[in-house]
Amino acid sequence: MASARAYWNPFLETLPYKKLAALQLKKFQRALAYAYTHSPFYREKLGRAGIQPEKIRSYEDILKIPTTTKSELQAAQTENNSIYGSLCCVPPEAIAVYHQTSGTTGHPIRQADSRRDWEWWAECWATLLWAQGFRSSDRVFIPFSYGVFVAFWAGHYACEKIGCEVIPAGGLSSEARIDKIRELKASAIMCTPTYALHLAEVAQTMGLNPAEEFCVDKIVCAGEPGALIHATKRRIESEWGAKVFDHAGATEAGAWGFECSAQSGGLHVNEAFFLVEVLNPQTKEPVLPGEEGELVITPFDREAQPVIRFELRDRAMWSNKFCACGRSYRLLDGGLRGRSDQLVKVRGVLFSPTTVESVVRRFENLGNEYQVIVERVRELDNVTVQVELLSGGDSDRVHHELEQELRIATGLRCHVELKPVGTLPRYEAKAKRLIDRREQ
Amino acid sequence: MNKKALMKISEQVKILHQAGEQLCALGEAHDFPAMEYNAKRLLAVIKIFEMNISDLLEPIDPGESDATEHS
Repeated sequence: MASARAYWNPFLETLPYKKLAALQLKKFQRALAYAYTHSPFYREKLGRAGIQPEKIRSYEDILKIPTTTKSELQAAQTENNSIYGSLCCVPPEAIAVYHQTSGTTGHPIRQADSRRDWEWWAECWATLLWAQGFRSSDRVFIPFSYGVFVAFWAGHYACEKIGCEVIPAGGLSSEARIDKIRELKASAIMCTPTYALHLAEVAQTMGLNPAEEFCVDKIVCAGEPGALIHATKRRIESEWGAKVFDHAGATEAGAWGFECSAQSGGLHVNEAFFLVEVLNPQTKEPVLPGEEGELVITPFDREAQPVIRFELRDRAMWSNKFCACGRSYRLLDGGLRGRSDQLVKVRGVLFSPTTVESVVRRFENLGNEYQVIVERVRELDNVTVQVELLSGGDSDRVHHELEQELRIATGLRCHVELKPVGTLPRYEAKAKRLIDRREQ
Repeated sequence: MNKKALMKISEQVKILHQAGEQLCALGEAHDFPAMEYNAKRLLAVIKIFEMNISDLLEPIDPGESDATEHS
C-alpha cells in the first residue's frame, strides 16, 4: 500500500469495495432522480420505458434502465431550434462553458457545462494527474488548439488546482513548441499518443534528441487508445525518455479512467464519480472479468447535461486483479481495446486499426505514422496498410515481415505500401487511421 | 484520519455552504455582482468538497435537486 499522499482523495480511492459499491448505488439513484426531474429528454425516455427512479434499488434494477446512444443525443439536439435541445437541465444563465464532440460518428454533440460541472471536470482530472505523479513542482506543457473540443482543457485547470505551472501551448507550430519545451525545461506534456510521436519526430528533424536533451519525465495521453498499446507506449517512452500514462474520457461523460504510477497494465475507473459497466453488446448483460464487452457509463455528478447509462462504444474488459497502487478502483485490463464503431468487417473478419498499430509500432525501421485503407476490388474486400520506411531500412525485408505479422495479428492478408518519410498525414488531435472506401 | 475527523470536515463544509449561499443572496439583494458571482463560483467549489467528503458520510436523498447554484 502506498502512502496516503499518493492519493488525491485517500478516503474514496481506498474505500473497501463493498462500501464503494454502496456509494455508487446511492449516487446513481441521485443522478437518475436528478435527470428524471430536470431533463426533458430523460423524463420522456425513462417514462416511455416505465422506469420510476424511486424503484431503482439495486444494481440488478439499474440493468433495467435503457442505455442511451449517441444518436439519441444527436436527435435530441436537432429536433428543435435550441442549442442543447431537450438534454439541458439548467437555465441558459447557469451554463458556464461550451464544448462539442468531434463529430467523427455524425453530427457533433453540443455539451453544456455549469460552473459546478467545470469544477467537477477539473476535479476528475486532478484525481488522475495526482495518481500519475503530477505535483506542484511540475511545469506542464499543453500543446493543443484550445478550441471547441474539450481535449485537454480540464487537464489545464486540474494542473492549476494541483499547483503545477501550466504552459498553454496552443497557436504555435510544432517546431515552436519543441523550442518552448526545451527553453522552459517542461517536465510534463499532455497530448494524443500520435502527437507525442510527431513532436519527437519534429525534434529529431531539428537535430534534437528529446530523450537526452529535454527534461520531460511524464507524458499523459488521451484521445486515442495508443498509450496502453505496448509497442506505442514503448516507442513514445523511448523517444522522450519519459513515462507515458494513459487516460480515458469523453465529452458527454467526463474524465473517467486513468493509468496510475504503478502502471499495472490497465486503466483505473474513477468509481467514486462514475458507474462504468462492461456489457455484452448483444445481450446488454454484464460480462465477467476477462471477457471483452462494450462500456456504458453514468457520471454521478453532472448537472447541466447529464447522461444515464451512456454507450461509449469503447471495448474493454475488467481485470481480475487489483492494482499494486492500493486503490480499490477496478482496472480495465489493457485499457481500451478499440471502438466498436471503428470495428469493420473485412471478408467476414472483424478488423480494428488498433491491431494494426500494435504491429506497426514494433518495427524499428518504420516511422510513427500509418494509415489503413479498406476498399472493394472486384467484389472482394482489400486491406492496404500504408507506413513510412525510415532511411536505412531494408525495404524488401520490412515489407515481407510486416505482411506476415499483420496476417498473424489480424487474420487477414493485408497489402503493405512503404512510403517515403513525411508523406502520410500528421495529426495534432485524434488521428484518422482508417479509411473505409467501401462506404463511398 | 478517522471518521470523527471526517465528520468535523463535513461540518465545516456545511458551514461554508451556508455562508456561500448567504453571500450569494446578499449580493443579489444589494445589486452587488462582484459578491453574487464570486459566491456562485465559491458554491461550485464547495460542491466538490461535498463530492469528496460529505457524500461519503451522509445518506443521499435521491430526490435532492442539487440546483443550489441557481437558487
